[in-house]
Amino acid sequence: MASARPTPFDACHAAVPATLLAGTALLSMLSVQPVYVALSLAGALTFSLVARGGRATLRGLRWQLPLLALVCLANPFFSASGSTLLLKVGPRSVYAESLAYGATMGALMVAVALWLEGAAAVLTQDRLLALSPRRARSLPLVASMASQLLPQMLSRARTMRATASACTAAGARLGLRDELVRTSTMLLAWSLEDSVERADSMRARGWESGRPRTCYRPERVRGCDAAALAGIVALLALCAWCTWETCSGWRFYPRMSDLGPWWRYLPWAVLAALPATLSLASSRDGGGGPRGRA
Amino acid sequence: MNAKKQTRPSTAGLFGAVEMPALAAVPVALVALAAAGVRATAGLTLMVCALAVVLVLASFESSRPALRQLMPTAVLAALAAAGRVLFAPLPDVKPVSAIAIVAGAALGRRSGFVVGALAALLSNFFFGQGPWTPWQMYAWGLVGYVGGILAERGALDRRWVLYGWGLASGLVYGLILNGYHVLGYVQPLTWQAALAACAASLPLDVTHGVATTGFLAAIWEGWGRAIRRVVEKYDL
Repeated sequence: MASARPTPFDACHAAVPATLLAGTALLSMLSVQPVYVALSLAGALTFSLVARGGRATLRGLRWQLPLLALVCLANPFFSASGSTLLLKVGPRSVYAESLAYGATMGALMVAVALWLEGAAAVLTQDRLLALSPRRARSLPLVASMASQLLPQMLSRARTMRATASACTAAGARLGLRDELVRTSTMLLAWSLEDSVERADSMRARGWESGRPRTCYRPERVRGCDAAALAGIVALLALCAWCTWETCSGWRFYPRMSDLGPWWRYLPWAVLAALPATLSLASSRDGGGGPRGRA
Repeated sequence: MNAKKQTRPSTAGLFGAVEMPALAAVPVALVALAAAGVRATAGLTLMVCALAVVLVLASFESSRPALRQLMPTAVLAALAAAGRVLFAPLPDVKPVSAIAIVAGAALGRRSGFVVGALAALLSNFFFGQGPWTPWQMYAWGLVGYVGGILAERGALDRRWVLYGWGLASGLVYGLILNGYHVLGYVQPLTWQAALAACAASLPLDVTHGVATTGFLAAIWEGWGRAIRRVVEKYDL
């Protein structure tokens, strides 16, 4: 199923953005070094602005920036260590190295959150479920059913509570606890009965027959997708090597080490900028447009 | 075809055998890597945690549950996620652990894990995904999984065990989420720092545990009746 609104990476197989974004987020988590984390944060922020828009990104930053500050300040509070004394708060000494470590980890957490939010905007649920192995049947079904039931349940819960509060013939008003128990039990029974009927209906349409119901795949890997995947994997491998070389020589304590040669950061900068660049390029081509579905 | 059929029980058995070691490997890796002073502890333990979640989910998949058995799991996962969204204004008062325990008791330990894990994943589409998502999936999945094991042994028939696990589940969840943050994100780590972090979050974890016990006390009978009624009505 094509999404109604065109999103970046619509023109390529879902495996391409999934590999790029998952690989970038994973490498970010493993690269605990200030320059790598700063590049990752800048790339994630730009990608979020392009993929999700300014308003959604700013709304996210409202809780992400306090989170960054909290993680940053927690490290010197829990673990005072380093050689450059910045200030003393009561009996506790705050060192620049300890603060830098906290800021790096806080920025890392926010960067990964931004990468995942950007990925959620680009990879719709249908495209993600289409990536699951063909032999996997139960889990994609449960995940897709649960995600579709969630908004339905929220809406049903509001309807039931509104109906109960509007019904003056139903006797005395229940307390909050009893009201919640009644609403949730009704919601459970309603949804369970619905779900069993849905299961029977699905079985009538060929589920559990033991034979594949269809050979239709919404997306197929084309030559250009395979080439893009190979390029992304090669770039990820190069970044992993550069990160390993840099991070193995990097120390926060007792004094931060030299940053090392600049060229080791170049592949990482390219990788961090790639999602936003590809998104911009696809939007310039008219929103990317859904790829030719096979 | 026959060969394929014969491989299914062995695959299910293999996954079933690695479930518990996989779940146990997460805290072991967390403590071992932090004790060794590895700087990328946050990333490496995230990988171990994600792998453990994937293995247990693969075990659920390989058990090949029938379609009618899958639907209650999806319903309870959606209810748990909806409950977390509805109770968002009250910090640490969440019905997710209680629903995961009910799911584990009613549908089995693997379903309990799936309900807890999916509830975390789906509700984070409202609250924001991040590196904490696999940890929440693991922690709430574990709560449901242990609930299932306790129910299999008949322990949840005794109310003090049910409420005891409800209370302890809040502390276990807090320990896992705090452990991931303190061991992964604080360096150099000392015992004093770890204890200070645990002490700081203890009131919130106790609130979570008490709330879970309260939710269990409220829904255990009513939901149990509703599930039994559907089971009898549709001959599940």
